Amino acid sequence: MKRQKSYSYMDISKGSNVLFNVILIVLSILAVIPFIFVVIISLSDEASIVSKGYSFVPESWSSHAYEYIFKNGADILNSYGISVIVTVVGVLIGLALIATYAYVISRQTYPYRKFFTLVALIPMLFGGGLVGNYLVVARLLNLKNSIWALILPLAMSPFYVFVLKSFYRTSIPDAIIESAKIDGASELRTFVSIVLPISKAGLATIGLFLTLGYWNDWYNAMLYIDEQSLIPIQYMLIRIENNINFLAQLGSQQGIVSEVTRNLPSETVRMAIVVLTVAPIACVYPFFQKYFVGGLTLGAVKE
Amino acid sequence: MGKKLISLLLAALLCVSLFAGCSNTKNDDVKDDGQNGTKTEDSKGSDSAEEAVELVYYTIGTPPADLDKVTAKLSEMTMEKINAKVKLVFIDWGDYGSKITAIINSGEEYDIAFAAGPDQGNFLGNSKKGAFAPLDELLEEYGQGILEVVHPAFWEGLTIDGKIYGIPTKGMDIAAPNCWMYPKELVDKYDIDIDSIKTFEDLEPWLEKLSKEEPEWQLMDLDQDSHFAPGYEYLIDSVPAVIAKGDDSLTVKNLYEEDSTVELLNTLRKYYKAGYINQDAAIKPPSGLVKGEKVFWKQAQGGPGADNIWSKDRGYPIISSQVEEAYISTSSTREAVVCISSNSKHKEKAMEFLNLLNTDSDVRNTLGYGIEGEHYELVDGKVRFLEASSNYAVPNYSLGNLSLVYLKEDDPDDLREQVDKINESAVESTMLGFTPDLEPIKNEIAAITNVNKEFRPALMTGSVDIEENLAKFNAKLKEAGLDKVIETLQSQLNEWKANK
Amino acid sequence: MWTRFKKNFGLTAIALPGLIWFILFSYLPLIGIVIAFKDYKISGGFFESLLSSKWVGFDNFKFMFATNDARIMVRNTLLYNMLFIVINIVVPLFIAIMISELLNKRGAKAYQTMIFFPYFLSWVVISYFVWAFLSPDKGLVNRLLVAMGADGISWYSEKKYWPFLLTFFNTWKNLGYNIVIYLAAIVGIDKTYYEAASLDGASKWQQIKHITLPQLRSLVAVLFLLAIGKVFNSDFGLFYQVPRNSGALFPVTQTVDTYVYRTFRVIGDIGMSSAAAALQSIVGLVFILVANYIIRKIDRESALF
Repeated sequence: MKRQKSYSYMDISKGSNVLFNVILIVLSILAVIPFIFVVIISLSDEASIVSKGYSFVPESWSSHAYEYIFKNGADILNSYGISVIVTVVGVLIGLALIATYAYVISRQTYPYRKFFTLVALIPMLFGGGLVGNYLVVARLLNLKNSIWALILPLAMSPFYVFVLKSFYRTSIPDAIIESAKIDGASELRTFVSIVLPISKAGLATIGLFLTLGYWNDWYNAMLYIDEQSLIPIQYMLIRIENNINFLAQLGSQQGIVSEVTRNLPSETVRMAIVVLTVAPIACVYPFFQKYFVGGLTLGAVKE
Repeated sequence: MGKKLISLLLAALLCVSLFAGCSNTKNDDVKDDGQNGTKTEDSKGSDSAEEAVELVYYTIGTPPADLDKVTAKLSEMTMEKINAKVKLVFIDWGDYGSKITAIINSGEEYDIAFAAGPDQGNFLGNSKKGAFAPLDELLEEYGQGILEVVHPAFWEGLTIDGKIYGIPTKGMDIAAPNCWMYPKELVDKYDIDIDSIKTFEDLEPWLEKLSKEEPEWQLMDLDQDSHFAPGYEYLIDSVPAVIAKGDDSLTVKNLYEEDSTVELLNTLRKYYKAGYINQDAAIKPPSGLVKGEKVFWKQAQGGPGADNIWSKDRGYPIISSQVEEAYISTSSTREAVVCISSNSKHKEKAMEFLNLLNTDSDVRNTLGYGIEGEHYELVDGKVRFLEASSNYAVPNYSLGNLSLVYLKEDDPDDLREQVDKINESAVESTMLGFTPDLEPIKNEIAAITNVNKEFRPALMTGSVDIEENLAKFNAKLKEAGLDKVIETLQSQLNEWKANK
Repeated sequence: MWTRFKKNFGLTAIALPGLIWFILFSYLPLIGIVIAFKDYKISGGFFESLLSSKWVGFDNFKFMFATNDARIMVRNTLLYNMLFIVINIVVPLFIAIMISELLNKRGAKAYQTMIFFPYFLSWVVISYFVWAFLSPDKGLVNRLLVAMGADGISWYSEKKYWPFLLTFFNTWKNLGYNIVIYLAAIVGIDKTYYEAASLDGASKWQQIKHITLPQLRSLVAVLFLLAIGKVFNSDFGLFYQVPRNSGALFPVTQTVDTYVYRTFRVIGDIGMSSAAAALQSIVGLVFILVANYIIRKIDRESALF
């Protein structure tokens, strides 16, 4: 179905457009300023921060923070590699699990819908806590020091399931599925060839959230991984951050630990850590974005 | 799209089969307590001396790069000496608390673990709940070397409900006293007799003088964790129920109703108003010494060699004076200990290994410094670090008898003697060995802890009006149940004293 | 019954992998909750310990009800959450609609990316910035105030500003994330609705009111219900790190999570922290049941169950 470029009354007025732009520009500035600040501080000289505080134009620049990180995390590239593998595999598995499960509970005619909804709802509220999770992942499934301990526990989340379910409800008319059924397509076939293609925006959203979840996760690595070669980047860097905090506290109480606390650069390294973890994921962002913002362009211009 | 989806589904299937596989094979493990190949199967009896066991040892610190190398070397030594290997696992500083909590409470098997305060292995809590094995008999049989080298006061402090649960690793500074540190530059310039300054009042004339003549120096550096209770000993961290040091009657009091405390707070208030204390003290997170920061006065726990360390941290020469006598209390004995798991199948071997750590210089120094010739070398009996030492940098205070550890190049020759002198001169707490039973008062402790965090930082840094806020603080402490806590602790102490 | 099962087997099979995941990673760990009701002592393996530990009923829960402070923490947790839930549903919804209606689609992309950025920053890092602005002597705001001849404000001891500040930071950080959810839903709305409306001469505003908003209704309901299930939880970093653990602010920053954390640091009792988590779940359950019941009454379709 082809249409003209656009109907003028399908768009908002010029005035509203200007107003919207102004509001969004203000919000955008509020949002990115701190991040620009982060980059600047990570490149500042530690001494000038101690004496002058944060500044947009530091007295002197320095790459010391990055040098410190690369020196202390010898395997930083290896860790990036682990993170990439975990994220890619995790997002694929997670999407497969969530997309299927959410589809099933979105089907109004499915008689066991309530049961499956309940199954997903209870974990939303109740969790086993540190001990319960450790017991299952490390001991029952024996995933300690396995890359699967980083992948599997995060693959699903009730929140994603319910959000995707409600995407399905808005974007997939029941009629389409019924007609597929009449054509004799199997459930799996209907799901794969009809439902998924029209749910790209929803899948991209969940994919983005999963990607962020995997990329930012350090907790599972902290609990389940002792093997240094399996440590993802986020945990490696968080550890530097945690150590700075912990040792500072300990050091102020007990003189003896001072021998280990010495020369921990703090502010600049913390900021460099943020840059090093956010930069790669920020680069992936547009890939997902094209599905939910790109989709808008499509909608307004042509079908 | 179609192909992608098929691969997605395949991944899902794979994942399902993986689950199924795991849950089938691992079920048996749980029954026999989850050992899966990390250990040899010699659980039948302790005397299967022919088979070498592998001891799993959790300790605190950043995992060093050369850990495997050093563990291999260490195991070589221990195989020869006690027919056991060691699997050493370092858990990073900030993570130790959570991870060891998960390991202990999920019943995972291990042999040795480091323990200290509630967020670092919780020595008291875990001993009480049965996570650690009582060591008395094991020490008697396999740990004679430990009994010989450890200061006897430790055993009193490490005894809980009549049993010893830990072996101290911090032997050298059982009684690290409070010190006040000053920059040498100013001390020399104004000829300050720092040894004569023992109280905040003694400090006042200098603060007054320097505030005029050295405006670029921060005179006193306090933070959220600063607290001063000279002459008092806490029974529970962050609960202001105290006894006066040296009080044989063991009377428990509310620290904030003592006249000396009121006086101290008023002094601090005066200093804050005069601008001697940093303005952000009440909200400043505790931090180590910041390089280059110009601070005239700061308090820290110190001891022999501390001036050296502080000078390096600050980046300018520091000298310090001890303001309190060295003091041995129950809590000072528990600042760093190693424990044996009550689930360990190799308790005897574990004790033999700990005995080595306390008596065998080679084993101890390998653990602490790495491999001689690779990570360090000895020059005149002192350690000189080699280039590779950064691949094996671990804390020494948490690993076992410090008196066996070689001195470092820049340590004073008589470091050990200085330490011994302090330890000998140390005063023992009148309630050394008493462990409060927190169970009946834990709800009150929870409430008091939170009240304490609400008021103490502001009061102890002089940031708020004392009269008004102290009254409020005390009222809230009472409401939170401080009276019940004091009463309970008092009766526990009385009972302890009667049975002593 | 069997025939019904067979007839629906195709769909059931599709949900099976997810079901297995839930059983393994959500349901099996629930055994950990039992600790909240036990005086948990170690005697051998986990199950052995659990079985031999004494039941203590709700003893472990008591510390959360012990004093007046406990009341304050409950009040804070619930009120902040109510506020956050409403704001985090309404504000992103309107901004998402704005973005979707922009005439310059490139701008839409750019704004949307930038607004997402705060989500990448952890609360610890955010707390440094807040400090850079609000610190009593070096802070940007106070330097500005002083330069204008006003008195500086000691932000970290004046509790009256913080309910506003915390709400602002929370909205600011999560805005981008929430916008994405709405945008994806807006993209998913069937375009034929708009075409039909356009042909009928409906203005854009009318379209938003009569198509976009109603189409998003069930998503809003779901987001609301999911959020209300967490009504007794709080974002620890926001309430602990951002106010720098300042005691003077406790009356407006103390929440269940900060209270439990501070307690755990001193007592280290796993039973107490398990109890706190269990209580949060139970309160969440009650709220979600009530909220779902109400939504069912209003609009059956949008209810979660």
